[in-house]
Amino acid sequence: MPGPGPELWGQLADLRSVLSLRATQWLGMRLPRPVGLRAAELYHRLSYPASRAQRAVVARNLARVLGRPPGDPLVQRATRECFRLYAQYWYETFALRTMTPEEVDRRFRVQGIEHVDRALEEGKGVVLALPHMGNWDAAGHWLCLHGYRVTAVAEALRPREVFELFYRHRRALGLDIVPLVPGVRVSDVLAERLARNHVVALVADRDLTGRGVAVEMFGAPRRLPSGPARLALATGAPLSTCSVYTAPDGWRCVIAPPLEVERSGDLREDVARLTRSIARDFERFIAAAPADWHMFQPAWDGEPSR
Amino acid sequence: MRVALACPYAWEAPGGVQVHVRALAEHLSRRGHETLVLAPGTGPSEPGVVLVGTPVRLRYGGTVAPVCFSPRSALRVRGALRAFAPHVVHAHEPFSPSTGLFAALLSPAPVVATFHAYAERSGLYTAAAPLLRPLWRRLRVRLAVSQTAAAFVTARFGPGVRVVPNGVDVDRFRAAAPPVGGRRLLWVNRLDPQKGFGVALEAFVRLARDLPDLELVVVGDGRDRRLLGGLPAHVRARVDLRGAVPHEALPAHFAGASAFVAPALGQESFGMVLVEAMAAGVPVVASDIPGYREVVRDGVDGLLVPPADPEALAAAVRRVLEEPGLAERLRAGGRARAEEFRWEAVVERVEGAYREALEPPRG
Repeated sequence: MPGPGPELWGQLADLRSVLSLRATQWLGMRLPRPVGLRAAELYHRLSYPASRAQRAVVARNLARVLGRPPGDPLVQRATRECFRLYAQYWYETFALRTMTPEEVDRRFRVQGIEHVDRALEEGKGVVLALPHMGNWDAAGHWLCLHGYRVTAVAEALRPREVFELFYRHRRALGLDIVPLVPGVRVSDVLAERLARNHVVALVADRDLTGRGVAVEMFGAPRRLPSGPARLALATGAPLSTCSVYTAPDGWRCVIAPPLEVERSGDLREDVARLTRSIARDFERFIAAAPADWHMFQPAWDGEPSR
Repeated sequence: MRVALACPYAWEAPGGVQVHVRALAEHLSRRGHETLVLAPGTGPSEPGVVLVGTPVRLRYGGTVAPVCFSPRSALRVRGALRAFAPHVVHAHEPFSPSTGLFAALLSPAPVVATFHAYAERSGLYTAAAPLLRPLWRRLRVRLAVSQTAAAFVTARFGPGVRVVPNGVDVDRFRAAAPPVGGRRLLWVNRLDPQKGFGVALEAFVRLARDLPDLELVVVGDGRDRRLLGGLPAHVRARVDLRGAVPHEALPAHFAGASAFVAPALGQESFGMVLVEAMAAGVPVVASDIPGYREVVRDGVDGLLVPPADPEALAAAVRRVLEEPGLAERLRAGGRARAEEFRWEAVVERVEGAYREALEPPRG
């Protein structure tokens, strides 16, 4: 008798991820902070031993960042801390939805917001490029609460229910979401938002296309998406990098001064140069808190050299 | 006596050689000598210091040395030496491509040289040795800061090097307060892989589990700072990162420390920080490597542990913290040992070298 086909397994896996996301959202929006953080910690402790493959990926990434072999005890510890912080992220991102604005203000401290203000005075919007650090949803939410109009891009996640859950979640946090779907030129939509003086926040430490710009980070080549640089060069909007760090009582956000945008006439070279500057800022952000970098895919090809 | 001191590394950059030259100049002038320091640098000039040019960062032997070898700086060295007309030129690291080399080459006066560095191997040094031999012969008196540094040079150039150790301003460190409140583990060094910061952290993580009051105080900065960002939050909260501190401000940071850790992996020629910790009365746990071994005698004025072994380091720190009487014994032993490196005594030996250089060459 034939067993269940691959389709059925796929559907079951989808169902599982949808249900667990919904459960996380439900709990996150209801559990008081001390209980929620405890629950996240407990989840982390129970799930960590079972996540071998992912652990190996994170350990390889962190080995590169820390400049030590993947088996080094400090790398192993950082890997564990990375998963712990990620579990905390899941509680906190949904908890943001039911947090009062006063509490968000108390917990979210920002350094460098003047760079955004100064940029917006020019009326061309501002592009914020972020790595997956700390809690980027919290940054978007804080900006919205303070009257900034923030646009972000949503990956076309499968299954559709997952995509919709995130779409609604980020809308509820106040963000304007542009879905990355076939048939829509996202760059045009974002350019239009910039023209309306929006903050366009792009999480930009992972190249999904394989056609990104070659940069060097922590002494090894990898690719970063060219989107933020392209957008800034096309629209004249200033581009700043930004990072969020998990702090004991919430988050700490650092917005860097705008990067210098040079126009040599060779667009490809200009995009590459600007993206390399982004890489340098990201490297600094990640080095400051390696375990707070939520990078669960291989960030570099191949093994670290030592 | 008029003495010109040539320092090879950027005057404003942190580093053992700069600290040495600065203190030597100070102690020489206290004893009535007139000194002039020549060094790479661009900062505002101080009285008695001539900055000879913009330093460039030369990557060598796992570290980066801020040296200056431009022809212009050579001219400035020559000009300054002519104007100052010293009785003796004291060149530090005369084989580094920088101010020390130029001063030794262009000196109008007898040259005394001090060798500071030590490396496990140095192909470049060995390769350059034949070229440097004429200069080697020109050096009237050759000093090294330790047996380790001396052995490094004599292996390539033959005998004729005398050890005059690094000096330490013992009194400035003496005043450090004894431990109060919680127990503190102290790190003072660059945060470089070579200095063993990872070993110290790993040992601290192990100790922190069992000793809930223990804190780690980190004085220094470097690329290994990122290792702190990978620590579990509850351990990270017990690390007090104070960053890089100018050498003048250092003594205060030794206050209240229960033990000092120095697990460098190698390439140490002397271990100045060890003497400073000992002068401050902080028990030292250091790695058993050539430069450190000369300063710390295991069980007498500190404890030595195998390098790159966090477990052994943690165990030794625990002994210091818990074994009755050990900390007091090491404290007393360390203070006594530090006295042997007191600048007041060291500078007399340097003066002896100057006098010798001024004697007409024999034969």
